[in-house]
Amino acid sequence: MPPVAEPELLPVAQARAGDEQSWRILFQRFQLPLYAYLFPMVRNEQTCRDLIQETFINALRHVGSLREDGKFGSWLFGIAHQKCLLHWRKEHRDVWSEEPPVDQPDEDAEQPGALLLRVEQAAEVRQKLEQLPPPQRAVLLLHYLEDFSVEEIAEITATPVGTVKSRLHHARRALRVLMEENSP
Amino acid sequence: MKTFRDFLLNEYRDAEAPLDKLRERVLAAEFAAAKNTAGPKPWWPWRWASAIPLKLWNELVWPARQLWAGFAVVWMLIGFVDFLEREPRGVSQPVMAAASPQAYLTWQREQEMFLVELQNAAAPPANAPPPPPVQPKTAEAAESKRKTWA
Repeated sequence: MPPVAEPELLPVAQARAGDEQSWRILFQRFQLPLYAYLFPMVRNEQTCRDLIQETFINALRHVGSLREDGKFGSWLFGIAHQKCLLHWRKEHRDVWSEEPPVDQPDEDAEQPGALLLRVEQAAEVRQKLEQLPPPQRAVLLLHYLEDFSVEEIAEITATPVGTVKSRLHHARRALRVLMEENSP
Repeated sequence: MKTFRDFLLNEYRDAEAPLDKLRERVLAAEFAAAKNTAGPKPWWPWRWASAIPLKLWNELVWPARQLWAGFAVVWMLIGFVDFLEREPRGVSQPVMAAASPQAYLTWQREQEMFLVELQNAAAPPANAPPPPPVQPKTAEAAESKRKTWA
C-alpha cells in the first residue's frame, strides 16, 4: 500500500534530471491513487488507463513546469484532472458544472476521516460517493486519497479556495444524508 | 479499522498489474524517444525564431480560427468581385503596344511638336511692358500716402 505523500522521500530531483528509475518509483507510487481518483470520475476502465497513460507522458515531457519538487503529487493529479476534463469535453459533457449552487461553507466541518473510518461502511460510502456531482466527488476523492489540503485541491482543480471549501462541505453533508437514508 | 483511502486502494488492487505494464511501456517509449532525439540542439536564436510561428499560430490564429476563416472568405469574395468588374484585357491596353516602330516615331514627333507649341503659348509676348519692380511693403505704403496727399 503506497503511503500518503511524503514529498521529501520522493526522488523528484533525480527524475527531473532524467533518471528513468526515479520516474519508475514516482509513477509506481502514484499509479493506483490516480486510478482510484479517475475511475469514479470516468467510470470506464479503458478510459481510465488511457488518461493515466496520457498523464504519465505529459509529466515526463513537461516536468520543467513543476515549480516545487515537494508538490509533485498535486502537480501530477493536476495533470490527471485536466486530462479528465478534456475527456469530458470531447464527449460534450459539461459535468464539471453539474452541482447545486454553492453557498458559504460553515467552519465546523468535521475532521476528514471521521465519517469514513469504519471499514463496514466503506463499500457503501464508495457507492454513495458516485452519486455525488463530479466536482464534489473530485474534491472528496482528492482529500481522502492523498490527504491534499484545500489549497492543493484548489490548484489541482484550478478552482478558487473558497469554492473548494464549499464543495467539500456540501459533499460531506450530501454523503452523510445519503448514508443516513440507508441506515436502519 | 481501515481508512477510506486504504479501502479505495484495495478496491482497485486488480488494476495494479495492467498499470505496471502501462508504466513500463510509457517509460520505455519515452526514454527511447529521448535517446533518439538527443542530438546536438540547434542554436538558441534559431530555436527561438522557429518557435514564434507556432506560438503565433497557437495563440493568435487558432483560438479565433472561425474569425480568421470569415476574413479569408470576405477577402476571397472581394477578389472575385474585383476580378469580375475588371475591364477586358484588350480594351485598356495601349495602342502603342501593338504599333510598328515607324508609327512610334511619328507619334513621338507629334508629341515633341505639341510640347514646343505648349512652351510657346506659355512664353510672354515680346512687346509686353516689363513688370513693375518689386518694392518693400513700407515703400509701397509711403507711395500710396504720397499719392493721397497729392
